[in-house]
Amino acid sequence: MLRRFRAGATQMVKYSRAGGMYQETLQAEERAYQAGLVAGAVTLVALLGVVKDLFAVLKPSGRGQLVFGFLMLRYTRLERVWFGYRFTGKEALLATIPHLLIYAAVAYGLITRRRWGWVLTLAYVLYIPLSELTFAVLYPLGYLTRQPYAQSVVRAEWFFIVVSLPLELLTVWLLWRYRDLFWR
Amino acid sequence: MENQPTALSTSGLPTVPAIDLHVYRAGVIAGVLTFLAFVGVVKDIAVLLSPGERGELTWGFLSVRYTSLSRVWFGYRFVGETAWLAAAPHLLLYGASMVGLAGARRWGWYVAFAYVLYVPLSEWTYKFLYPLGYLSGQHYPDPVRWSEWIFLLISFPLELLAAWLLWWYRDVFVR
Repeated sequence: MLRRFRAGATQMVKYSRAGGMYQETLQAEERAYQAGLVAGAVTLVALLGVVKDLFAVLKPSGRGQLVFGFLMLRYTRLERVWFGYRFTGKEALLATIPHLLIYAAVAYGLITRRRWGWVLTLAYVLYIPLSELTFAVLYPLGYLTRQPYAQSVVRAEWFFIVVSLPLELLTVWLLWRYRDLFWR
Repeated sequence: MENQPTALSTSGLPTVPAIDLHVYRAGVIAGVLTFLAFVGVVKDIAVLLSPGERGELTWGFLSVRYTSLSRVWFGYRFVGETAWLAAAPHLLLYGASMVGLAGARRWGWYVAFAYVLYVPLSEWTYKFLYPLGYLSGQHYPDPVRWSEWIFLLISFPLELLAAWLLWWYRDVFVR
């Protein structure tokens, strides 16, 4: 990829090709682009989250699905999980609002490459597996309700965690790797 | 202020805008499109693995609908086995866009830009051929036609925005 940036770097930066500075700049541009790729993917997810939660708050029915081409978003304000605890009813509606604000802030903060945007995103991506694991223990395993879910549901929940946890950790690792782009 | 370019070196050489926000933003756009292309790859792999079927892949609040029963290319709807086969070039396009944009390749930009321009062309052609009935001679019921219009009214500006942003940041890819 560095070669890609090397090919036309003179259009972007004006400096001598002699010395190590040229190479450093190409590497810096490559890192900026890669950081942008990570931010873009996370931003899209956050924007979809904003749309989902806007519908959850504004739609009178309170739950439903949005179909857009091959993408489909499920939304509900009838229940909402925070830190693994499931809120229902009016509490769930109120608990949707901070979710909405966090998604919007993440999208804005990453697009504008703010330090606080990076911190917020990292914190939220770290929080997600914590919440998922806590939820799995409290509800599907029944430690809070004393009524475990059916085995097939518990297995599906663990499957979800086993697949999503590496993706969440990968996102954390990528955000950490490109932290210098935001911490300046 | 935190978004201002910073110098890489203080060795006396001219200051270099080390971390160009322009390149970062190009990456953000590419990241959005790459993620969408990735979802498209997942969808079309599901299609190829499930001939004659349709279904959903759900991941948290995000679901991906797939079907091998019909496939639209340039507004024309293929059905049956032809639809299943027509998923293969879609998969290749999504895969190429994903790899090309992630690697900041020039050809990746061309593929993504051409495809983003093609999508509304195909959608509008489909709209006239099927929901409005210019090909089939039987227009769809009103609620379906209305939902089709709403889809176009929302997706068309987004597709033009994507094309404009790719064009705006073309210098990062096409040098």
